[in-house]
Amino acid sequence: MKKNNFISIAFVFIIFFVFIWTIVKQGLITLHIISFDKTDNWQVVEATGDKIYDKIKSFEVGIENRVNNYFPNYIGINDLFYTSIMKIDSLYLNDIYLKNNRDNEKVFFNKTKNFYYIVNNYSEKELDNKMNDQISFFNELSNKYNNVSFNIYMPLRYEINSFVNIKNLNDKYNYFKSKINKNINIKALESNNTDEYLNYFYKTDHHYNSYGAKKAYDDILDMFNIIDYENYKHKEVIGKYYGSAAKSLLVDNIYDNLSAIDVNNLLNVNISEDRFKPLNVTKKDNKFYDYYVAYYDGQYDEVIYNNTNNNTDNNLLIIGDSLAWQIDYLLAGHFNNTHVINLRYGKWLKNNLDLNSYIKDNKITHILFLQEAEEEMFDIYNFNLKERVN
Amino acid sequence: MVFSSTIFLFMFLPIFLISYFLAKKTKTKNIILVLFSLIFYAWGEPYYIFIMILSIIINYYLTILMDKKKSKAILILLIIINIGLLFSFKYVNFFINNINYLLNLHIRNINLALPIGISFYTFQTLSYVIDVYKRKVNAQKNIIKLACYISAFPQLIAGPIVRYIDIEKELNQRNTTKEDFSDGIRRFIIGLSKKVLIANNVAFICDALFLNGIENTGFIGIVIASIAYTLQIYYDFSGYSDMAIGLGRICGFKYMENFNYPYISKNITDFWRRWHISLSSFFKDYVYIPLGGSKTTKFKHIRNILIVWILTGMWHGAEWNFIIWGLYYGILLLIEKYLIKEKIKNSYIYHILTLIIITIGWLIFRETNFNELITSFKALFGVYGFGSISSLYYIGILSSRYILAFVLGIIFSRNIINDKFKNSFIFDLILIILLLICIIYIVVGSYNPFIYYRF
Repeated sequence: MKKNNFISIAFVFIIFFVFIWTIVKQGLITLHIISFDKTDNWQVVEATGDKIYDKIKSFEVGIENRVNNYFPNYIGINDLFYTSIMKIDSLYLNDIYLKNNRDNEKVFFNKTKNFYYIVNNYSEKELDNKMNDQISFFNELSNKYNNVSFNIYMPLRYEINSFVNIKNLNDKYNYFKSKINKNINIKALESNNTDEYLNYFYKTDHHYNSYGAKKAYDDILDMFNIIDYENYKHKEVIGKYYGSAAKSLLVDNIYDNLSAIDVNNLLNVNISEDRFKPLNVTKKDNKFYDYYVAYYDGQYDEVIYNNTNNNTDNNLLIIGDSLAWQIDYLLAGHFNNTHVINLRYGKWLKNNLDLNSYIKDNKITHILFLQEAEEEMFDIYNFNLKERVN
Repeated sequence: MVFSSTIFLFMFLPIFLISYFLAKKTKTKNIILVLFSLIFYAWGEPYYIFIMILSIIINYYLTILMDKKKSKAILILLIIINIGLLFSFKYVNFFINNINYLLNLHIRNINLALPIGISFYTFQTLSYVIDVYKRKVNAQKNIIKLACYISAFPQLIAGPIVRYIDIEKELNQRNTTKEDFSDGIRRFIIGLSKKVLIANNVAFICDALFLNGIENTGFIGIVIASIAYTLQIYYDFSGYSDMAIGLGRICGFKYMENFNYPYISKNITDFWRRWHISLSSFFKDYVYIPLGGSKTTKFKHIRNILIVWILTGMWHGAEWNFIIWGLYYGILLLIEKYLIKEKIKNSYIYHILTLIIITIGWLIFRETNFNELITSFKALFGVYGFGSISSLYYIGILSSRYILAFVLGIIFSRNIINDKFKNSFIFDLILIILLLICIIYIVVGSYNPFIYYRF
């Protein structure tokens, strides 16, 4: 083969192979010969209101989605890439940087303890400024609503920023705690070393596991001065669970067992039928399918639990995120009505929370902020509660 | 659309190649090239295509009229229209902000996004209009050919700034030989590798260090970040030019070279003969020489140099740091011209000094925020201490792929591959392997899922 022919043929073969593969795969999917579950990598166009523009964008993004997601051995290529990096870099590093996730946080892998963690991209100075903003937000809010019990719970994860290890992560929390009004109850799920951290959190995910959740539940009851009289059991929900970090890498050799607190002996709380479904009902071909979301069915904007067997007049409002999904129904066993609000979903995407009216209308006696520690201390994802809760 | 994306490589390019090479006549090829160029340009920002089409139509008719009537007034009108278009999108808010600042006014900014490649296609159009006026070329009577010159997708977004005179013949008649096709592919893969394997990876080093706060990593941090940015801007830009030249070659065009190993330059003058050659030669031919160039009084020469370099700075962006960057080079070139002896200018020590000057220049170029720029210079002068390797640990830049890109970036900034090897089969084999690695990087980069809890 002549030299010029080789490079031309090889190049044309490679680009046309993928092109034809994409076309054929789309054809087979259209004819229902093969199936394809749209993953979270399937981009969606947000409507701008300009119909022509939106149609053009939808067309473009639709093609881009297909070219990307139908790529031959897409998962395998990602897996190969990151597994190779882990192997090469682990020759001389203990903590291996893998990628930036969609929030531009760095996903690291800890070789010694075999787990992933996330490092945000803020500088120490920026974090300090953001923390001061959050402190003033909580203080102003608690001064305004001083007739209700005001509570903050923070599950402290492994990381805050590049310069913070577990020890000074706790220092950050202690500083935050020292500056918060005395009428605010505050508590944290603290870890003093990596082993303790891994008891409470998943290796591949940013959420706490059922042991962390149970600890959080106990801590919160303690904060409310409620004695826990239930003896919940932990149960394994599914064999292999690839959490958010594993999912963002498509690496399958490190996984968790999704665990949950057994809901069989719950207090008398009404629970939606969609929650805690056996996972074989939601099981998908894609092993990176989000079983955490599927099991807790937690992407709600507002849930109200009514406890029919409770003789207290106390009503709880939880302003939370996905960490609340694991224990909000348990906390509901100790209140008359428990309202859970997640400002990231549904009606809250367009509306702010009028806390004054909400407290009055629902006779709220206790407010609990239950979000990621980074969010509560720094508003790391810029959800801007300061403007949205008033 | 960018070349280093799956949509370009595995959808746009195959369909384009089939369509283009099915066409036998140059006329048909031109129509296909224009159509695909419009799709390429409209991808991601559909409305701005109309600005470019309008610009092509206006320049087409008015240039013919100017040519016919030999009218200087129409030339001036065309220059005003083209510069006005560029000014409206690129500079108007810059001027509003400065007027507001100086006169304590509150004029609102105009909410207009910058159309991609407008600086490049405006300059191409200007060169065509001026060359027609100067009778260097004839006015193009076929609008498709003119559209093909202005909008051809290989060079539309990031140059090189192609002169009409250079491709006039090819617009009328061109063929792609087997050699053109294979050479084009080689050049494209080299450019893609520069962009994907080196520029993107060293960009991570630079961005990660600056994002973390350069004051936290001290002298060592700013040195690594500056070198990384120096490599990034070269491999990114020259990589894009290589891909453009390669794709042009595949289509039967021979575009001018835009880079010639700028980091081996002996001095600053030499650097600007090797860096973004198409822009430097544009300013030389259309601004510097018409102003009188160097064949005038010393005062006027200094004035000419400073005008050219302020304009060069402004062309890169509507921020003060670009103007300062332009002036920085203007002053340095004047110093070199009038104060430095020839022998020193060609010494090895001066080469090292030149590299340091270029690297510092890129620091000014990168940072639009003055406070951050001052922080960078403080770090460079050791105000935040020397720093340590451990301070770099959690930034992620110690990963093998970044270290490798950094080292290879330095090595390949010099011409270390001889022509004999470039003509060997092994070289082609290496290029195909590089292409596959690039594809892996691009595919991995295309996976960026939403993590539900974030939205």
